[in-house]
Amino acid sequence: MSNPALVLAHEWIGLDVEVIESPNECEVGIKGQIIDETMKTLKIKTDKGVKTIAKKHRMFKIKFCNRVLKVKGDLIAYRPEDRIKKGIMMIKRAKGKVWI
Amino acid sequence: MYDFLRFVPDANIDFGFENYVVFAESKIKVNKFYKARLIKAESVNELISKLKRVRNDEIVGVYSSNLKVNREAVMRKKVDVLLDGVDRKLDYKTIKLAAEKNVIIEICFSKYVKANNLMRLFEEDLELIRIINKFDTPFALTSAASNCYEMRTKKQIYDFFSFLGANIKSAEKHAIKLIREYYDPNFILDGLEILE
Repeated sequence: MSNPALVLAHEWIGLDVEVIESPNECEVGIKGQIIDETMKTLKIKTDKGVKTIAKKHRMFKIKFCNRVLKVKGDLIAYRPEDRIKKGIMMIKRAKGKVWI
Repeated sequence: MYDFLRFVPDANIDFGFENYVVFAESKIKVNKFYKARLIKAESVNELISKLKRVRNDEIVGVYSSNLKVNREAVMRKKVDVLLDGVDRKLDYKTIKLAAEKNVIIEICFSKYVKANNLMRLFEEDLELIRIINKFDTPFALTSAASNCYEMRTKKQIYDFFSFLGANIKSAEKHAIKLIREYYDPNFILDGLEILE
């Protein structure tokens, strides 16, 4: 899977992630591995324990396909099983370059 | 940040814009400016047949004085911009649909230079900007100049439309997003970018 756009449809558990923008300043800089995911939150295993971060209104930096991507949390604010369908639909509907 | 034009300006021209997007019906050389395809259509069939000839990797702007054509254009994935002119027709539904389909509505200054009935234009643009603000529809404030005498500085254009109630920052954001969609290799979609 070499298409970075497919991060929206991919499983996030196990990926390395960092919070780079958040309305809560204490959350900025939290980084680690995602160990669980719900519809509205990500659970990140950090050096200081497991942190639960809301997806909406946050910006995440994630390693995927040997690249570092910046992802707006609102784009992934779905149940993981729903995101496969909705993620692909979002990429197909995007204007500009054709990614799929 | 970006101005939409209908002609290729002089390369050394400086009106305060970062760069220019040149809309043209035929293939032209645009030097350092961004190239875009202009489609003029007076019927839906004409629009569809012209859109079939357009490649996926170029910015497409549609200009029509027919309301049905504009509504059809908004629903097409290839169309990026609804271009403005003296006799462009838009209604409430089309503007709302443009917000859903992410089609930029151009509001231009050159029609005020050309037109005779200014009061009608003011009334139409005030109503258009009111609906745009209501639905957060993508829009761009441009000069839409077809010759160098219709061009204006960025400050003049933005001051004029901010007086009519347009959100300048939002207009700039949408114009930058349009360019990034086609010319930035690291931009995938709004909210998803490649950093490294």
